[in-house]
Amino acid sequence: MKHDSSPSPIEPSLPAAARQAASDLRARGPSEDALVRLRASLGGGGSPSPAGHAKSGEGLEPLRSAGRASGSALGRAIGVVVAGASLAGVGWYVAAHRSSSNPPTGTGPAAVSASPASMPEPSDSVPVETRGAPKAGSPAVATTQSARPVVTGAPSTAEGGDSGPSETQLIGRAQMLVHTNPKKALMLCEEHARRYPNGMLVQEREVLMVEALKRTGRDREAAEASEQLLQTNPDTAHRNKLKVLIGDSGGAD
Amino acid sequence: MKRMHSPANAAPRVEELFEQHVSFVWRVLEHHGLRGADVEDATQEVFVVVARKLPQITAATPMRSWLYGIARRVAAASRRKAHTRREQLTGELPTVETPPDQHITLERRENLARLQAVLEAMHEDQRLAFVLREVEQLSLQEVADAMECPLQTAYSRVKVAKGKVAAAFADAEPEEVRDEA
Repeated sequence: MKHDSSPSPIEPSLPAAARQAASDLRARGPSEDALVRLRASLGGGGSPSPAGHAKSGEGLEPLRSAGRASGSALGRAIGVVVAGASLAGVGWYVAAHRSSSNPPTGTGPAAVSASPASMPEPSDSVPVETRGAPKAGSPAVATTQSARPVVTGAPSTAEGGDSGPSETQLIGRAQMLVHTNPKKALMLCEEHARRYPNGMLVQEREVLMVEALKRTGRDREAAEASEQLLQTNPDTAHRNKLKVLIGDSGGAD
Repeated sequence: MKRMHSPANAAPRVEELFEQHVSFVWRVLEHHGLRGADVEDATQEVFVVVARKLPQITAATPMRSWLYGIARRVAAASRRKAHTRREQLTGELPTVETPPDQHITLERRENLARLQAVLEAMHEDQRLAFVLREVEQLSLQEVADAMECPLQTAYSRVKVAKGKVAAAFADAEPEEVRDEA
């Protein structure tokens, strides 16, 4: 794989003021009052009562009309969960997260099932944008056992105009190879690290490296890389995947 | 307290998910155009769905992406309701719902408003990709998972959005690029 030495058009970096604004935006959330109401709607300690939010005592204001109905729905939904009724609504998540191993067939993930008893069907008919079939000829190869979306090796560069391999190409190829040729996948990750040290797929690269190291028998290095990634990105959603990869006995938390 | 999930999957309880992610869900709903009471109601509805889908959660579930998918659909349903106000992202912040705003400086408020104005002007896909990546700090893979799009698409959306944000801030007041600790 060749690539020129010109700097790749990596994502534009945000000015400090914009980063601060993004951070401030992230600090937002529900007010304390809203939290109280929402917690109440959860049924306090999780004991599913038929009345949903019927836990009262300190003026826990029921939610507004729509929310009131939903509160009951939540109570029922929890009850349903406790009762083990887990069959309904398998479609969306499974479709969304397994599609990488099940190339687009039929309706795909747009078929969302999310309508508990009295919910206003938030999803079923929502025409979400389809994934998995972005371009003709995309191989849509599954690469890892978990929630990896389709990453094609097609020559469409996400960065556009870069004559070398794009971030997505490198990581996509590494994902495709990590099972069958983890050493090659590792090389691709290393190339990505050289070309895109501050790219947008750094976390994905690191997770792939952990997996590739693990698959090549370099368990210790894999564990160290995993630990480093978790320290650097404690909030990463790859945490569970890393723990699965490493076989950490610490569980999901 | 006893968990209601199988040990193999180690799925969390809905209360745990609520405490960990309610703010994220709230913001996602806001970024989908919901405001005020609608956000609260929709947040509740999201966790109704979460409670229902709890058994589907496994250790490998990218939680925020998963929650985002639910929140997006709930937001869409909410917006379809006749009584729900239509999308109305404005440059003004709903400060009533955002206690953290109280202590930030005027300059930061302005920057925040500027950021929101830029986001408002963007195509929704770009805005949400930016929000997930730069505001919520999801990995790009999570962004792709959440938006149910290929990684390349997520990449492009974030890149374009970042370019627009960077341009807006560069145009505005270049001298105010100071990083506050």
